[in-house]
Amino acid sequence: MRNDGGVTRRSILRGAAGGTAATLSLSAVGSAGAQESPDVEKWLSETGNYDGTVVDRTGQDEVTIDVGAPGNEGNLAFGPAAVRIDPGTTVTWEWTGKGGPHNVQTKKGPANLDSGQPVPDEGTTYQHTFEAEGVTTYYCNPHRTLGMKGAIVVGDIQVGGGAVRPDFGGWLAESDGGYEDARGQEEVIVDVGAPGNDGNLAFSPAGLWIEPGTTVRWEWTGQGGPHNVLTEEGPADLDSGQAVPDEGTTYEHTFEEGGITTYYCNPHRTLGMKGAVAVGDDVPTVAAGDGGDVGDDVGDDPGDEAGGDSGFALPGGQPEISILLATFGITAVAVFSVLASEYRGALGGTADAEEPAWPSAEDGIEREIDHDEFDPTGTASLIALYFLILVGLWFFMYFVEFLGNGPTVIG
Amino acid sequence: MEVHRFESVWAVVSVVLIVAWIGTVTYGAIGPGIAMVDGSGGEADAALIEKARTNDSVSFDEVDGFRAPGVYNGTGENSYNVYVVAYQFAFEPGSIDPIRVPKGANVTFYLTSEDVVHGFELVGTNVNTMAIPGQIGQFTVEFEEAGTYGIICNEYCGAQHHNMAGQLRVVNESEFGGGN
Repeated sequence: MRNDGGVTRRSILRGAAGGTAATLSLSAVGSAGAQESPDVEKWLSETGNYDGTVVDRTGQDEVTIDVGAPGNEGNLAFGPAAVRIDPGTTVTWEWTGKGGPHNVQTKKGPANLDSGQPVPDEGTTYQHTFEAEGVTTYYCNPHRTLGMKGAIVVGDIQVGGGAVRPDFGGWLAESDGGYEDARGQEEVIVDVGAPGNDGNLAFSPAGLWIEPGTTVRWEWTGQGGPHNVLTEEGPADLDSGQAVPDEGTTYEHTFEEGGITTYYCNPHRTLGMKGAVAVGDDVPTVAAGDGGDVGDDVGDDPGDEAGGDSGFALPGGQPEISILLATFGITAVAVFSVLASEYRGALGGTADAEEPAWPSAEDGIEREIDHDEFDPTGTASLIALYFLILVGLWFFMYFVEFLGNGPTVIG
Repeated sequence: MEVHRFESVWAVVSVVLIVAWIGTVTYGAIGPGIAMVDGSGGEADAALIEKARTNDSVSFDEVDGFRAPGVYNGTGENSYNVYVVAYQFAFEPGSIDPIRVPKGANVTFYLTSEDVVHGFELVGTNVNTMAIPGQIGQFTVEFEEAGTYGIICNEYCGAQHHNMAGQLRVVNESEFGGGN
């Protein structure tokens, strides 16, 4: 099923969109980190039986996961989808015999799971002992696109840089600078005048999640003109004073009280130079995968999903379109030039001659010509052109599009 | 009635074009041997096929006119028969394991559906027909080049229609292990 050579139609589109998104998010991320482990939330975002909780199986030596558990509009799920275990735990995947052939394959992570070819039989098992800490994401190859995916979290590690992030209430919706989960750090540095917001007009990271007692130090980069730090709303009263441009300027605040403090740079507030600090675990959160706030800093790697589908290549490129456009363009020009010459001919002589171009009835007949003496060459050339177009369409439709696209049904 | 000589010219050209177009279709049928998919494949019990495919206790031997999905050796030399069942939302064979056929052989497909109307299109080719429950679509194709073709369903068949796809691999004869 994997098609490593070909390019899928979806991957082209996704690649294009992903590329743009990646560029945007790269510029937005700045120094935001905490992305070393795969994001479980994102990986399982379309997995029906994953409700946002990583099932805790720590403290057990052996853990069982059903393959072909109910879910994803059928028996097309791993049950449970996401599990947290201790290092050294042996996980056994047990086939339920439902939902057709399944297998277990690693997407990303320290453990290299591979149960081989998909098999449907009940009672099939596959075992793996997880020694290294980390997040391993995996899937069932035939049903990956239907959401049959899972994740094993080994050890006490943060999943995907925080499966949830604080809900800054839209304060950072238009702001660059990224988001960082800095819980566990005693001191956090925020760049003032980091690249972003169409200039060096961002706080980086703009969104910050820390624990009470953490000191945040704002450091001026010297870029983007004068900046300052002022509280918009929240428990912490930030005020760095007048806006100054100088590199090396710093401003510190130690956050003791829990809650979300939103702040801004006074001169560049309307340009999006805003930030927010969430303190403590008792803050409203949203799923990290939601994006929403702080332009999605997760950065979906483009082409990542591409290989999974049954791929097929688009035949040829798009030269037919340009040929068609050229044909119609030439036709239009030809028609207009014929019409124009007819028109000029009809008005012929009006410019220099004094008598009107169209003799009136009273003028009497000046010249009489026989039916066969008049040659409607303009009409003839238009009709010739129509015939050419018809022959061209006939040629392209039958000989290029139809016969040229073999193989063809021959019996 | 007087007919201008120009008019007689384009009247004649029009008739020539019409004759040429009809001639083209005739040529297609006689020259390259292009055929239409018709009802010659016969009929098959869709419900029984579904049971045979999903339930171990029912065998494809019980289905008249249709064999278990797979690639079979044909009667003639270098000819193969491929039995494909389309169902929501996969082709068997095709989706899980690619259909493998050898290069240069006459491959006759027997295509049916066990639930709703599906499409069977080899992307970028003229091999394109409907899979109708109860009907067997029979058509022969010769693959002259080795390569991989995508199979897509092009008849809306349900919520996961967009995921209904498969693959057909045309392999060199030496790599082809033979049919069933």
